[in-house]
Amino acid sequence: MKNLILLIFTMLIVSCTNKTKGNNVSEVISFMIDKKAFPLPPPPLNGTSSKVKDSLLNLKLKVALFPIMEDVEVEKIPEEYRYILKNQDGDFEKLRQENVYSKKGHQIIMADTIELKKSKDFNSFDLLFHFSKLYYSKDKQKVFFELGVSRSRLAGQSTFYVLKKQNDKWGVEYSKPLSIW
Amino acid sequence: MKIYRNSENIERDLKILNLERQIAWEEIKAVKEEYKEDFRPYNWIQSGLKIAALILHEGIHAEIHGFVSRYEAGVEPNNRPRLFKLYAHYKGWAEKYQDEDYNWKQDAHHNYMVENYVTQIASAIRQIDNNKYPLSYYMAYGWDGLTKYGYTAKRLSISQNKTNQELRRIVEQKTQICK
Repeated sequence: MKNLILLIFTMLIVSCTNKTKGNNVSEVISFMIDKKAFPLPPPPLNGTSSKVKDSLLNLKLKVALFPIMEDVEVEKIPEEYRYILKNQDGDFEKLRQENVYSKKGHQIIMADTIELKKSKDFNSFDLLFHFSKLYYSKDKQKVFFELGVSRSRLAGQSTFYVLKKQNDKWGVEYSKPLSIW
Repeated sequence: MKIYRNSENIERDLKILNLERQIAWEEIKAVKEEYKEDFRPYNWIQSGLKIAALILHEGIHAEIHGFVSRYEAGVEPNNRPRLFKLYAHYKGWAEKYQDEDYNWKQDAHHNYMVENYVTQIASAIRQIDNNKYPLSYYMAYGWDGLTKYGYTAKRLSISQNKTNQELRRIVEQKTQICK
């Protein structure tokens, strides 16, 4: 009986810790979706009014999340942020959609990796977000990661980000473009 | 040999050459992507270095082929005002989105490719396939990775793309290239 209580207690603590981490992950992902999901701007056409341009900013997009979160290569991490690597426990290799939301109203789905291999263009969504693992500082007030955003398999870019939490809100502290395709 | 009389001309030519290099790189990437698909280790056991050498080899083919076919098609490689217009246009969008990381050059490149290279790519693939079918059967190859840009620029419709994909399926069933 004593052992059973101890087991339940341990499970409760572990589940609570994971939930906090999970919420942190979804917070960061949600923040980045609203920051980076915008429609493809049309090429210069004669007479495109600023009203039309503004209306494009309100378009709701279908955003797909790549389900696997890989490591960031150490050489991509600036020296001053490498200390954060020491706090990692190797969790969150699989991205979950739970609690991920868009304040701007974008629709969020999980990408089908088999479907992705069939075509160079994305036929069932507008943008693919591919996150690396998220690396948090010990106090959870900073996080760094790599993010690839693609409009097709041949059109996209990846960027290294460091976010900082201030007044309970995430903001970009540092970013560095890594590659384009 | 071209003789430069002032530094402005040198600067201008360097800019043009750099843009051409970036466009050629886009073309090479498309070839590289194909090899990633076709030469996965379980399909064809090769060392990484051999695969890298192969990609470089094919990339150089693509660059030479691209340069020659552009020349033969009458494209003047030093006259690209449209490209600069696209650069200026998408730089403007970067300011509108207020996203310091938005890579507007990439959107300029892909739109330029839509306007100038889709038919050329399709035509080159048709040649590789010994001109077996009319050009329309190969258009899907030209649009690969660019369909969203085509829709936005109103140069491609969803139904057109569907037709292109169906025609490509016919080509792929019959082609003997790399089989």
